Amino acid sequence: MREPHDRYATTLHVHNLSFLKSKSIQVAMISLTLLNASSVLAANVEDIEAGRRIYQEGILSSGQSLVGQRSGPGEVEGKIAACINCHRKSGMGSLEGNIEIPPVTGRFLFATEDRPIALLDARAAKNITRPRASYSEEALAKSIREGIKVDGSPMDSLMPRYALNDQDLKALSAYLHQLSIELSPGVKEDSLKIATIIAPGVDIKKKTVMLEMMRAAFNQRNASQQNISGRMRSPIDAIPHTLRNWQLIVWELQGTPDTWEAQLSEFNRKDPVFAVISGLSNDTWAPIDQFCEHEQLPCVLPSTRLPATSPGYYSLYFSKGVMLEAEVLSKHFQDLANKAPKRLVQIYRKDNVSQSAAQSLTQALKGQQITIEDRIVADQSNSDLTRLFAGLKPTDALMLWLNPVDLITLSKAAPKKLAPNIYASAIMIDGQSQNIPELWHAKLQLIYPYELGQKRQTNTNNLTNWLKTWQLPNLDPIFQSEVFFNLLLLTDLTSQMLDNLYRDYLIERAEDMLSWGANVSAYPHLSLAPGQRFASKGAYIARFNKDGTLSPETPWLVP
Amino acid sequence: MNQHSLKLLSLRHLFISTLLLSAFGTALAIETPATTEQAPKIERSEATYTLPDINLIRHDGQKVSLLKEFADERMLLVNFIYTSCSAICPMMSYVFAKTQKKLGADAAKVHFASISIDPENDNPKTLTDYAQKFNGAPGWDFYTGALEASIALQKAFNTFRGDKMNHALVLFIRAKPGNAWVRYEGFVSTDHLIREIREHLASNAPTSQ
Repeated sequence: MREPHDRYATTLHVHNLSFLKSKSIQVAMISLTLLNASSVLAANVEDIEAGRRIYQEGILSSGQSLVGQRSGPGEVEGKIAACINCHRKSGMGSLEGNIEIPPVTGRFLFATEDRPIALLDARAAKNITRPRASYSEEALAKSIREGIKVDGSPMDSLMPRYALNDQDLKALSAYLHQLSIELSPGVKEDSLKIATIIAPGVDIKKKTVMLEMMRAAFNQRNASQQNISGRMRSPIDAIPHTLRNWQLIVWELQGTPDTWEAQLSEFNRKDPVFAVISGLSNDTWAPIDQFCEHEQLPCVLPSTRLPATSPGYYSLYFSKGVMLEAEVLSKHFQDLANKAPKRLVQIYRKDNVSQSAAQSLTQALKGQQITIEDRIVADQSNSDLTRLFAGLKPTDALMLWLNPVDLITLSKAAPKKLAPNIYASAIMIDGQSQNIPELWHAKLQLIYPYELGQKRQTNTNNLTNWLKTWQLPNLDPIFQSEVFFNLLLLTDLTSQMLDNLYRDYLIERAEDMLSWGANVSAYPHLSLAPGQRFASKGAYIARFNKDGTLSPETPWLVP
Repeated sequence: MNQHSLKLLSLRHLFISTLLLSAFGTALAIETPATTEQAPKIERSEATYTLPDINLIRHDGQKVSLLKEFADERMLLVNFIYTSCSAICPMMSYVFAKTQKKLGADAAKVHFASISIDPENDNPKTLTDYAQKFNGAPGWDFYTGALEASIALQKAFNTFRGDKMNHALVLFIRAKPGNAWVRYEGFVSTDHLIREIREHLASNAPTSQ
């Protein structure tokens, strides 16, 4: 039977998505494969490690580079020839343009259970792959060396042919046999455990509203998941084990950041979760990033002012936080060319966030002819405040890495006719212009890493309406839009991952689809890709209008 | 019953049949269109595109006008890439690199242009690093710029597909300013590309097939 595959390119409404927004998605690749039992070969650890190096790094057991041959583009060698480039870390493959890269996981190639594998990608309608026998060692060898599939048909010409020797083939096979063979921790027969992390010292109101939002969304989602009647409401229901209830686990940290990693490891040991989404910290996120990396646990888009400088594979962020603001200001000075300040005075407190921000700016300004002077807020006595503003010239720029309370205190002490250009961090005032005392309005410019004006309002309308429905307050619109974005993302991710609940696959799908969904966030544009860890990459320099709202002074600046 | 619910029904029907078949262990024979040969499918067409008057940033950090960059007499090869793209773009870039190398002395008559479709991530430094990875020689330029500029250009070439993971495997050739563009959809091999380039160079006009 041969069917034009367009017949199945059917738009369908997926009911379980409709709780937060109504969305039509297209079933893209649904491959239902009948799996024959085949015995998993006992492979030793050395083989698996050698296989991992071939798969991930493109290095053969001899230490030489992996070489692949393609009929079209020709030879590929080394890291660029490694399987991971296309089939990804999880082995679940991907969809790039109209190129379908099939899974190569243990379950997909050598399945030992009689359960279909289904894949879903919302970006485009694709084909349905044919069922086939499971791969024997010989069949695997033939596919890798000659590009012939187990059913005897040729592979796509984009798949290189690799002349692996027997030893390397055995190693690669051992690696593939165990790749994504078991569902990740935190995934139970009928539940999916998701954690969120709350650092100490956060605003209790913000914490409360975040948890209320998450619980509301989880309850709403679970209510529409229960399939009591047993009737199928959506084709996706036909795939077993896709109706798991979401379970929210709250990890509240105590004490100083250096103790967080141990606390989190203990939480996760006692009750492992599949992923962490959102989270709230006024302090550094770096120890949490390290924890996520150690545990190989996806930590998706927390609300933090200070993410890790070099994030691990498993942590995704909205932006670089105050470090981004520093880089944007430096870029702004560069664009100002000869109108750039001669000297920059930074005023900040000695806490992790402000210090890192100031250091980042100092670092970013290297190579520009700008002198930098740091002034630390001390006891806020009269003499202290006078010192902070002393000797400023019109050719100076003043950068305030300060929270709203400090800004109020300082505004009272600032000289009436303060000469230089003054900049402040929007992140440190939660992006809310009303947190800036009016006294500053005329002279201050904000480094503003969020969308402004009508566009922002349009993007966050869904959130406003959803909060109204749930009778929840909108205390902190940017922060709450981040939480909301995560809830929608989790819906999309788990819907499309179906039963393929592997942590690596979650990261890969987030990398691929972050920019695909509706942008309900306060950011103009969120986008990731393999290896990218910061979804929003720029900021405006904004000024106050007479009515207290903000207008961009510059285009969206991307450092 | 409207069309939408009909479609939905037929899809449900498919799933139910699938499950039933699975239950009886019968092989389910739904196949993709026949793949009878290994050669990648490519489509060649000719078209005229009106390019937008936009500014871009070249990989050397220079702010440049697209129209000026595309105005010289050299033959122009254009593709769209992004540096974190792991599967398709490296192959397209590999073909550019190899084509440039294999052209030998003729390479000087060809301007290779790779435009980033992820311009907020791809700055001059990332693009330069990327170019080095492929041993790109002078005559192969990479461009980034504002997101709006990249999208405007993709739309002008009818390659914009909403998000970068949806990017089309497409390549454009213009023999000289004023000529129509040759549009290639699909994966064009190095040898094929060199044949096309040499034909253009010989006749100094686009060939038609």
